[in-house]
Amino acid sequence: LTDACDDCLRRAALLGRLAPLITRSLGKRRRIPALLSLPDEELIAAVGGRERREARALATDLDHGQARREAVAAGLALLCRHDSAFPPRLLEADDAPVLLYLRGNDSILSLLSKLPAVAVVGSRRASDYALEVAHALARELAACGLPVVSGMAFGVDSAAHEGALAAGGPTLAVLGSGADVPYPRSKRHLYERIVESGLVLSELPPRSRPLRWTFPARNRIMAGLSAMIVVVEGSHDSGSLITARFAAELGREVGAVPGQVTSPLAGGPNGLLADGACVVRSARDVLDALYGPDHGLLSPAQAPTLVLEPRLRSLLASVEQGMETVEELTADGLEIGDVLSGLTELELRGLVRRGAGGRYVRCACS
Amino acid sequence: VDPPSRDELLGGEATQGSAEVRARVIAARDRQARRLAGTRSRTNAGMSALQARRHCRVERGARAVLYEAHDRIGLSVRGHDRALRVARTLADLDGLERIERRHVTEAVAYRELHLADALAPMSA
Repeated sequence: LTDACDDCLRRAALLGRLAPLITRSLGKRRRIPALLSLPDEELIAAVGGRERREARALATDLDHGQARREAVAAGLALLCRHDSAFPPRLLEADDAPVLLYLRGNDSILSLLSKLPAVAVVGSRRASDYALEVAHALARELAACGLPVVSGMAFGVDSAAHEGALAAGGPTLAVLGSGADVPYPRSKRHLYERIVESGLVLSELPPRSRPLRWTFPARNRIMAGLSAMIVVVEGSHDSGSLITARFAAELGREVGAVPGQVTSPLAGGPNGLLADGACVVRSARDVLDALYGPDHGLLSPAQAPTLVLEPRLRSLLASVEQGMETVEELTADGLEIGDVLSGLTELELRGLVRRGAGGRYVRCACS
Repeated sequence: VDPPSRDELLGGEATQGSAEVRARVIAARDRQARRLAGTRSRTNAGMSALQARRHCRVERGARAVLYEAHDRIGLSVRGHDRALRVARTLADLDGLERIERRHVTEAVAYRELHLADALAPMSA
């Protein structure tokens, strides 16, 4: 997965070089996705303005070999739209990037072609209510194996990633910076954990700094990747509504979490609901929208076991086989600390329960 | 409860020698004493609630464990405070300043057996 065709690489590198000019040309009423889908020459003309010569100079000597080496040096994998692993839903969007830079767990990509991904987005300044709902929603969806997409921003986005990680489920962070640049910086630790078990992606070359336009540009990728987008919270002019609009234009499901009518932060989702968006109170509402009412998913006891990390799955299997005390579970050489912490993880997921005499039993349901 | 058999008592291989464990414990107690220098406490167990809050900073994913332990397994407020101190000690034993998720989950497993736990099978 470190190969992409030369043309796509050159295009991605061009975008990186033009990035500052794109910022300057933003005053014009052109929409970012439309701008980014222009062919090279037209893009240069559109963003160059009076400095068209300067823009054209930036576009010369683009070297795909060097672009490839820079990506590899930054620890990024490359995936262009001509690769069969490219997310199929993203291909449906006319304005999709030609190339993605990736960091993390490649196996998440194959999930994207099998399961509907759900974007969970919202404002950076979020209420406790929104953080709670985003976390729980993402956790339940990820526990069913559905990839949870978000933007790693403060507030709702981060809560969504955290929720998916807590379930041990798949999550994708689409960044408005290079995929090797954790932004916001204080989310570096979250970034590392997403890289470990999820996937971070961006259309921008390595070391790219985020700019004003890269966020709406990133939002179009989130909408493109997802079968459904859920806006958890945001004011009536929130960036999340841009993502919702992109999603609606692609014919994707749009859902919103109802909020207090007196709260300006709920203006975005409440407005979407008034316009006919799907009411999202829990993961069940999302699954109903994606699969119809009789999907049989989210049967609490089974679904989460599918996405358990291997050590927890084998611990659960041992408990299911009747090994119910810590002594029995450590008999074949497992560290007691690992067993105890694993048992708590299983308890938190409602899979086992500690009963009489400190014996652990498999729960019938959570 | 059956008494342990002779093999259970005497068999098996030790994973850590006593000397090694002793060194870890001493190092962990040193860390605690240094952290609490200038206060009346010398150990994690002796920390006041305020000190515990200051010194038991846990990473975000680990904090969620405590919330969920409250919601899902009925960890009490007192149990929460105790788990936090135990997690602090587990991190100290690993020589780490940061309390990680695995420390908190292990600490939660050391919670006391509640009467409710013991009665659950009968009342269920």
